[in-house]
Amino acid sequence: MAVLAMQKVAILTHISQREQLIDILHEEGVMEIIEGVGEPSVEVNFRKAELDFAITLLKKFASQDALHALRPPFTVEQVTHAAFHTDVCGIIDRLHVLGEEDAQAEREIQQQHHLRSLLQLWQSLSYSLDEPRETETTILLFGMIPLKHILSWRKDIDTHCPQSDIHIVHEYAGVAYVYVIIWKADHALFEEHTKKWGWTSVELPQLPGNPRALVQETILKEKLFLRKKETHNEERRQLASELPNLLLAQMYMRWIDERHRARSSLDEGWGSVVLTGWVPRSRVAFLERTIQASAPATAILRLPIVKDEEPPVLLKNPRWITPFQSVTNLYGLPLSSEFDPTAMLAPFFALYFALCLTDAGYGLVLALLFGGVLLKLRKSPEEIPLLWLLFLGGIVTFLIGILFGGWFGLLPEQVPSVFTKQTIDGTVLFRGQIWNLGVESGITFLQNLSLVLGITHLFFGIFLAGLHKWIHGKRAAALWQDFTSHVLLGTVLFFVFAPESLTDVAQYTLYAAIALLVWGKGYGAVWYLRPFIGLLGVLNFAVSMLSNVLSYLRILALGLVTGALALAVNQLAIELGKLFPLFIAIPVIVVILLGGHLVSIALNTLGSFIHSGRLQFIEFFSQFFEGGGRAFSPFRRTLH
Amino acid sequence: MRTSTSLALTLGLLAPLTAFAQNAGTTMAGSIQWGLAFAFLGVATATFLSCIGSIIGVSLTGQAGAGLLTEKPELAGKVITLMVLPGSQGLYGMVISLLFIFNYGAVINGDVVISLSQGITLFVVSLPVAFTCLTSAPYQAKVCAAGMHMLAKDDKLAGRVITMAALVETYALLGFLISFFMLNSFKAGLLG
Repeated sequence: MAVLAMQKVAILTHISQREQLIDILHEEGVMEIIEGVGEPSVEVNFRKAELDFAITLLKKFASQDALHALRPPFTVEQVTHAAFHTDVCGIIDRLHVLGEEDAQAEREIQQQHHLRSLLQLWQSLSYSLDEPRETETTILLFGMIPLKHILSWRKDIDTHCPQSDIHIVHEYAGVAYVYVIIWKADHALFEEHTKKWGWTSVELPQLPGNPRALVQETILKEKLFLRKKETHNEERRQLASELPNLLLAQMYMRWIDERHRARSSLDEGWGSVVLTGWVPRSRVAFLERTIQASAPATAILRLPIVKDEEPPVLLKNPRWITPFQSVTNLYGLPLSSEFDPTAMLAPFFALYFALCLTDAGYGLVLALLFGGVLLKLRKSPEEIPLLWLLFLGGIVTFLIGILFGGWFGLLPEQVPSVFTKQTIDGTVLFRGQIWNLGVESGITFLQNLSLVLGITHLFFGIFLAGLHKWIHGKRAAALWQDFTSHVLLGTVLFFVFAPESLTDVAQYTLYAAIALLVWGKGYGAVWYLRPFIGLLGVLNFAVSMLSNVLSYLRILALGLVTGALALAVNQLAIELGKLFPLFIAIPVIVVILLGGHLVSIALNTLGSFIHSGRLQFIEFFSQFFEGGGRAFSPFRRTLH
Repeated sequence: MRTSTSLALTLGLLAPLTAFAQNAGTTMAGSIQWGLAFAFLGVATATFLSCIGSIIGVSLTGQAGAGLLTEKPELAGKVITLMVLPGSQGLYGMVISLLFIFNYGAVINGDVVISLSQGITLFVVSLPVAFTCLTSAPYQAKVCAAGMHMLAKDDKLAGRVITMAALVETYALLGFLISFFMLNSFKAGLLG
């Protein structure tokens, strides 16, 4: 139930036992290595990148069976067997070759496509394109001209280049595709007179065969290359059957990388190596024994923590509190010198979550839903804390919801009498219900409960702040700055609840507690300024307490919103059902009720979770908790 | 963005005027109760304006959060926590409205008739929470959005970001506090 104490250690061993030491540490996973300035292994990183490339690519081609073939955790034997018996390099090389061939095929397809689009409109041309386009005296030109100008252009050319021969090959989309044979001597003149009519020259490739035959050829070639790509994909699909082994090999590569980093963090000299790092204090002796058993020429030195050095943080809580670590993690880990707030926030979080929902039906749905998921997954709270938290939240909501009579927004009059009871004043309530949020008294109760919970929560936070100071030797500061608030709270309660005969005593006790608080809040200032500093401190304390306590009224708001939404869903279903005949109305009502309540549960669960968390983060944590710790990250051979 | 925000604000400011509809403040006899109408205007204003502040605030943080989550999806929990912070203001306004609806049943039912000045007083009660929430939520959202840039660099700073954002909300809480006490003290004076 705490932040585990960390010990900084230096492990000194003979250089011949270096690999054994790394093996032990990797296997046990109890030490976070303080990394040195060693160079990362280019070779390992390159291999890792190659493997990542192969896995990412093959995942796209893998069957569902291959993707689900292996489920963690794996065994060390599985990983090493896959790493040593899989032709990883062969697969990667083959994938590279296939990639290059695919790129080549794609280039060919693009070229054929381009050629086809160029020749498509020249298919009526009966000449082979490799025939000479120039003689000593004539020249053959291809081009396009707008159809609307073709007569004018022809007339113009006939006038200025009378020895020319014009042929229209094809007409399409307002453009004529033509070829012209002219005298070489008239070429300049032709260019001059043809441009003004919108002439565009076309360069047809000099290929053997006429355009029609060439177009057919491009279609066939394109199909050929597409088939080649498909064959490559088929080969990739076959290679994807090796995906599970590649994933295991990837894990093995990760181990190699981790070991390389550990190796590069070793300080070498005089035939020995030293490795420094952090180990949970409770595991140092175990580590010492384990290392001594395998590598006797090894010593573990316990090092002092130097100034400004922040040890990593590892939380350890009882099993039933572990799910609440997900709330702490949302805010951030505590510093190594702080409390782990998880156990302190757990009961408040669960209670606020339940009060924000206040619907036993919704709680039951949550508990059944997440209970079912947990039963199927069979995972511990350490592995999936959030699901466990929602399961526990559902149970607490169910219990609290019974007290407030929240059952899917139903009214007691709407259910069979076996589920209800009648109070002395004739009011009908659900069985087990104590407070009714549909009347003023119930709402006033929830309002007062929210405020009382807020006060309790805040003063508990102040108590923890004082306790933290006390433990760390700042007893005077704890007494004056924090515990004086509790003295005041006690005297206020005494003043409120004191019998009439003790009113005067209670009053003077209250005055004394206020004076004590003023003096306490001025702690640290010189004696003559202490009352003034203390007065300012009390003012600040009073304002922040008032605003913080009122913030807890969100519990009231969220609690009422849940009930109102559920009620609205029920009314909507009933009113819409009235519009249809009975055989349609029943399915309509069922669908609206199911859909509406599911949406309502989802929205309200999210709201309850976030706002319960917020009451911890802002109102509660601000009293005693800073956070910002670095998570303990051990050198460990992971198998998932 | 600015146009839609202005439009939303204008609509928000005008919408509570529906409280002046004939039915809202009409007695059984048919004469208009201006005091009750003003009280209802206050109730509507508290929720409308504070919710508009939250709408703007949550949408601002949502945009910043979407950018961060694209790069670091593992920070979803922290981002959603920050996103929801400017949503509290809407709740504060709603609590004031709810407290009026549930605690002033006698006034709403017509058992206790309130004068115009008393109605205006009840309207004024809603103003501290309405305006502090309307203005603080977008500014808090800006702090949250800036905090998300901090998270992008170092997610250990989540606690500090939340604390920084909470400081802005303190003033919305002060507005809420004053409205809360005004509502309760007025109730004590009016209904005993």
